[in-house]
Amino acid sequence: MPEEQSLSIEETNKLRISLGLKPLPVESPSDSNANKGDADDDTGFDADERRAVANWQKRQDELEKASFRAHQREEIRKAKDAAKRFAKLEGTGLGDEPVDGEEDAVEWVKRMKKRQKKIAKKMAEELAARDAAAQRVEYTEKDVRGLKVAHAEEEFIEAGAGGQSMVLTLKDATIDELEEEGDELENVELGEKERLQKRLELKKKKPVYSAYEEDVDENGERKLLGQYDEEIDPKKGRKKFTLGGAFSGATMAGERGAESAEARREAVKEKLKLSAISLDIEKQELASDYHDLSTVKVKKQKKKKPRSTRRKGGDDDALAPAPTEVIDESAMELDDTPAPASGPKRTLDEVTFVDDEELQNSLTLQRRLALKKRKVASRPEDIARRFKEEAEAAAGVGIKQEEDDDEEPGLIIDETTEFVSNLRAPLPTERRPKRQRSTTPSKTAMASDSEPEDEEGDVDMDRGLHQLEESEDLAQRIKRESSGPEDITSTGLSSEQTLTRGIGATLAMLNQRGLLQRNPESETLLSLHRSREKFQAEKRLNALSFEKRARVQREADRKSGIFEKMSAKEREEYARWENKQRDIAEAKEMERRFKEYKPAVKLEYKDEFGREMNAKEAFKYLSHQFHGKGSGKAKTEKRLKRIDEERKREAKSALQGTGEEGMVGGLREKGKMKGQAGVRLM
Amino acid sequence: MIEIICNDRLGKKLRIKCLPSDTIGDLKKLISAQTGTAAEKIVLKKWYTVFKDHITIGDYEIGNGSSLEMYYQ
Repeated sequence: MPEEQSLSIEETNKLRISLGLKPLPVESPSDSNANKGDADDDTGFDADERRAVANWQKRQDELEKASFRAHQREEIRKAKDAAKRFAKLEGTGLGDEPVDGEEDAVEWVKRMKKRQKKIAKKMAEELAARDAAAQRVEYTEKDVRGLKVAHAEEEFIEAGAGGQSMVLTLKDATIDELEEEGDELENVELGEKERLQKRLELKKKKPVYSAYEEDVDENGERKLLGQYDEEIDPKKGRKKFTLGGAFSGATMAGERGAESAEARREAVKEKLKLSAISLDIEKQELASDYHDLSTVKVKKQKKKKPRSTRRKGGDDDALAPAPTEVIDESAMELDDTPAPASGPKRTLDEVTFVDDEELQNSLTLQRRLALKKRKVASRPEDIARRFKEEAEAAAGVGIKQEEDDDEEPGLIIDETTEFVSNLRAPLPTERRPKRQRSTTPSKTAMASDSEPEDEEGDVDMDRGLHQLEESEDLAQRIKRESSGPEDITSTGLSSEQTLTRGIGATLAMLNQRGLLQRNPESETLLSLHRSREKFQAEKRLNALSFEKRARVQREADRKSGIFEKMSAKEREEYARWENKQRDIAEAKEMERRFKEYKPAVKLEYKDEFGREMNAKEAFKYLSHQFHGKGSGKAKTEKRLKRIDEERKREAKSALQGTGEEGMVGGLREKGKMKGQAGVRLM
Repeated sequence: MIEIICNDRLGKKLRIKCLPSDTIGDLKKLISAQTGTAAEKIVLKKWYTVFKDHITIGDYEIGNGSSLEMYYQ
C-alpha cells in the first residue's frame, strides 16, 4: 500500500497559479472562527457542506417547533373540551338538595297539574274547531248529482215503498272502465241479486234460437242474434240512471211522490203498449216464386261510345276521315288531294338529305300560299292535316328532288342544281328509265294539268344530261381500266413484260412501289451471310499470299547461300525456325482478322440421303444414334417411301402444269397451307 | 474546495485539492505536476467511465474524498 501523496493548500495554490488556474480559497484560522456563524461569507474548506448542514439544522428546528406548537394546540383543545364537558353537569340535579328552597315537591305537583289543565283545554279547543269544520261541510244531494247508479230506478222505488233504505257504494271497476264511464254507484245486495239471476238464467240452458219467434226487443226494433248483444256490448243491456237526472227528484227525496207516480204509470203504460199482443189473426202471405217487380231495381247500362280506333300503320291513315263523320263541303273539295299525297310522301322517307336549300325555301313559300288560298277548314281533321303538311314543308327534310319538281311549276335550273343532280352515283343506263316510269304515275296523279308536260320535259333533260355524263364516265373508266394493268403489274400475266427487262429491274420497280417489302430479319441474315462469305474469301486469299511469300523467302534463302555454310542439322533447324516464325506471323494475322469475324450460326441436320431434317426428325435421328437402336421395319419402310415420293415430286418439271405436281400443284399446295384460294406471286 | 484521491494501483496514490469548478483536464495537469507524468498520458477512470477533459469535476458529481482510477496511455 503506497503512501498517499498530498500537497498543502499553499503549495497547491502555487501550482495552480503556475498552471493558470484559480487559486484555492485559503481559510485563515482567525477568519474561520470569526466567520463561523456567517454562512454566506464562509468560503473556507468544505464551506458548502457546512452551509448545507446548517441549513438542514435550521429546517429540522423549524419542523420541531411546528410540531411542538401543534401539540400544544391539541393540548389546549383537549383541556377546553374537558372543561366544557364538566360545565354541563353544573347546577342542581334531582338528587341534589335544593340550594335555596325555591321548589319543593308540593309545588312541583301543583305546577304539573296546572300544566295538564292547560293541555286539556287546548285539546278541547282543537276538537271543537274540527267539529265546526265538519259541520260546515255537509254532504247533500248536490254532491252526488251526476253520479251514475248501476240499477234500474224501479228497484229503488220498490225498495222505497218497502221502507228499506239502500246503501250505495262505489262500484268495483278497472281503471279503463273508470276512465270510460266515470264513477258508478251500486248497491251490493242488488248487484249480487242481479248476478245470481243471470247465473240461474244461464243454467236453464234456454235454446237460443226459436224458429217461430220474431226477434224483437222491447223498443220494437228487430234484432239480429240478440243473445249476443250483451257479450258484444255489455253496456247495452244494462239499466242505469244518473242521479240528478229526470227522475232524480222522485227517487232521491220522494218529495213529489204523486207526480212521479203519475209519470211512472205513464211510462209503464207506454211499455205495455209496445209489448201488447194483437189478437187479430194475421193474414198469411204465400211466398211467391218470383221477385216482386216493385222491389227490383234495374240498373241501366250506359251507352258506350264507339271509339274511333287509330291505326299505327302511318300518319296519313290517321288523317283519313272516320266513317261516322259527317262529310261537309270543304272535305269534298279536299278529298282528291290527300289520297294521292300519301303515295309520294312514303317515298320521301327513303332519301334523307336536303338537296338544295334555296329550292326548299321557295317550295315552302309556295305551299303556304296554296294553303292560305284554301277555305278555312271547319273540321279538326282538316286542320290537323294542314298543320302536318306545313310542318313537313318547314322542316324540308327528306324531300326528294323529283317530287319537288312536280310541285313546283316554275323550276329554276342553275349550276348548283345541275351539279347536285349529277352528283348521284352513276347507275346502269338500262335500269334507269324503268325506275323513272314507275315513279311518274304517282307524280302525274298528284300534279295539276299543266304540270305533266313540264315534268316530262324536265326529266328528259335530266336524263339526257345524266346519260351524257355517264357515257363520258364510261369512256374514262374503260380507258383507266385498260391502262391500269400496265402500271400495276400485280397479276402474274403482266409480269412477263417486265421480266423481259430483267429481274433486277422488276425488283427495283416493285421496291419503289412498296409492293415488295423487305424483312429486316432476313436483311440482317443476308448481311451476315455476305460478311461471312467475304471473310472466307479473304482468308483463302490470305493463305495463298502467305504461301507465296514463304516460297519466295525460301527461294531467297536458298539463293543467298546461307544453307551452304550450315550443316544438314543446322539447316533443318533453321528451316524449322523459319517455318515457325511464318506460322506465328500467320496466326497473328488470323487473330487480327478473327476479331472482325461474326459467325452466323445455323444448325442444319442432314440425314443419310442428304435431305435436310426438321427439328423433330433430327431429334429422332440423334436419339436413334445415341441409343444405337433405330425404328422398326414398318416405320423405316414408311419413311423411305415418303422420301422417295418427295424426291419424285421434286424431280418433275417445275413448269409441268398437269396433275398434282409441277408449279400449279405447288401453288395449290401453298394456297392450302395458307388457307387461301389463290397464291400471290409478288 | 474538495480533495480527490487518485490511485494508479502501481505505487502512486495522490490526494489532490481542487475546486468542483475545475475541469478534468485541470486535474490532470495538477496530477502531472505532482507525479511528473505528462498530462496527456493520464487517463482518469471510474470503473468503465473514462472522464473527459473538458467537463468539470462538479458536473461529474465527484465529491470530497472520492477516489478515481488512474491509467496511463
